[in-house]
Amino acid sequence: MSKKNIVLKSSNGIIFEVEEAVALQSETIPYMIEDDCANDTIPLANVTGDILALVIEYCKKHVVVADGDGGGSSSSSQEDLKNWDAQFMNDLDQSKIFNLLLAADFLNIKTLFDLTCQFVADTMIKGKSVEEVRRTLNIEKDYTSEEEAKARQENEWAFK
Amino acid sequence: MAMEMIPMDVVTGEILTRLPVKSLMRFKCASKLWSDLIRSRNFNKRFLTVASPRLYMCLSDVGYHPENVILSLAPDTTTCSSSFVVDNDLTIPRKGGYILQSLGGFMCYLFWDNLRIYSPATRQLVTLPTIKYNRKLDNFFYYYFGHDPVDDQYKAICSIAPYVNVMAEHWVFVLKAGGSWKKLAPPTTPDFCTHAPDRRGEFRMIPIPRVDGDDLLPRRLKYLKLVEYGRKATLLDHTNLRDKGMLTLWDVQDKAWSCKTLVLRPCQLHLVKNTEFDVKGTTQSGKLFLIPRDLISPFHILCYDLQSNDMRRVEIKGLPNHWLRKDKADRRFDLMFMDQSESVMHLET
Repeated sequence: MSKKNIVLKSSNGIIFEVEEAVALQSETIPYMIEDDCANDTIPLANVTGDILALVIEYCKKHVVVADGDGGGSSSSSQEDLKNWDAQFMNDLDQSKIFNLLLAADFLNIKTLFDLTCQFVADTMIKGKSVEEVRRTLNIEKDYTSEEEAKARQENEWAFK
Repeated sequence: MAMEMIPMDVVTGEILTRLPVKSLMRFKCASKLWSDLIRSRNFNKRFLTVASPRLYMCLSDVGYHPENVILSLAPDTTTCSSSFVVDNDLTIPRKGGYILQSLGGFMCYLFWDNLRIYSPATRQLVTLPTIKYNRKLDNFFYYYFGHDPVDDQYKAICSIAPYVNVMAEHWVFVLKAGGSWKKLAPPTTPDFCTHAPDRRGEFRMIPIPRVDGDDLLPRRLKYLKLVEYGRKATLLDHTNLRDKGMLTLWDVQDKAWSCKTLVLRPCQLHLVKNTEFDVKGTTQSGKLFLIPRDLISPFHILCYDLQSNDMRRVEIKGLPNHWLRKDKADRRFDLMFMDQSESVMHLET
């Protein structure tokens, strides 16, 4: 069976040619192919080249496992994949992580979106104090001092 | 680099929902807006889709309630066998008791004469007042807590009966501001009824099946448990589980009961042979949980996959030793299993 390739073009004009199975992990791309069948290149106006390269790296890694086992991957390869995901995320800086999250959302790649959201939740939000989270997420404090003290008292256990 | 570039709906709908409840309860103090958001039913619905399974175990000392404790357990990720381990960071002191019912993240138990509804995840405690009923000795009380889809309210129901198979009077408490116990009109069904405490907690009155004018029903009640299985209310009868490895499932269809019997594989019979187990409930994937009647050591529960007729042992690790050493007569314990997730639902009272 011959492999079909798909050409993706980033917002800054960088061209990537990938196997169809890699690209089709995105649920957005099939619609773009249908809409734009005359043209071979799919333009992705919201994704820059460096981020698209990361998305493709992720999709390539994840397509291999699904292929090798006819759908159901063994627990050891799932374990490997989990470790790979963790390493992949750890190597990125914050700006790349946020852009990758947005790209996964736009391209509708569910596993990558879950991975990036969980990573942001675990590493940037989870352990934060109330003040830090207000700063990070730009939350306006609309409590009076008394109200805040009461809320803190009600949820005292969560501060230990 | 601020997080401002991430749209707020992604932050609230996708990132906050992936946080542990402890962080969320802290962030309720960040702003009123966030507090309202985290307490909302919509947020709770989204939260339910992403969190991981958890077990709660109540240990209580009959003689000394301040000793009571609720343990929070998470799946043990360090081994490949299925086991849960106590998360000491989340132990809740001085709460809990024998769980009458657990539903959608809440446990419902009695504290003296008061019904308490407690969320071990958010630690919200609602204590209902006692019922002002015509007091007689030897009454049996049955409590149920659930969500009524008709008016979208959480309700507690109490049935008071002079004897188990005699028609009871029913009281209802709607959980809302200024709620109180109200007596319901007598039910029209003269048969013994039970409420179906399924996962959605929808109230249904279901007459217990009687086989050939079954007079033994009241005695068998100890071994009957109504659970949700395959999205339907199913009555489980495990009278013969220990001796014969048999479990009978009664399934109500158009007011008639159909019955199916499962027989445990001979090689798994030893799992139930030496210990007496109670049926605790089902998971969303159709697995049945059985818990031992006593605190055995090493402590374990059983997970019975009814679909494939496969029973597994699930180890429970990290129980405090002094509970295992306590005199049997003083200690009680109970378990609540939440397969999909915890709940951050806030009850309005």
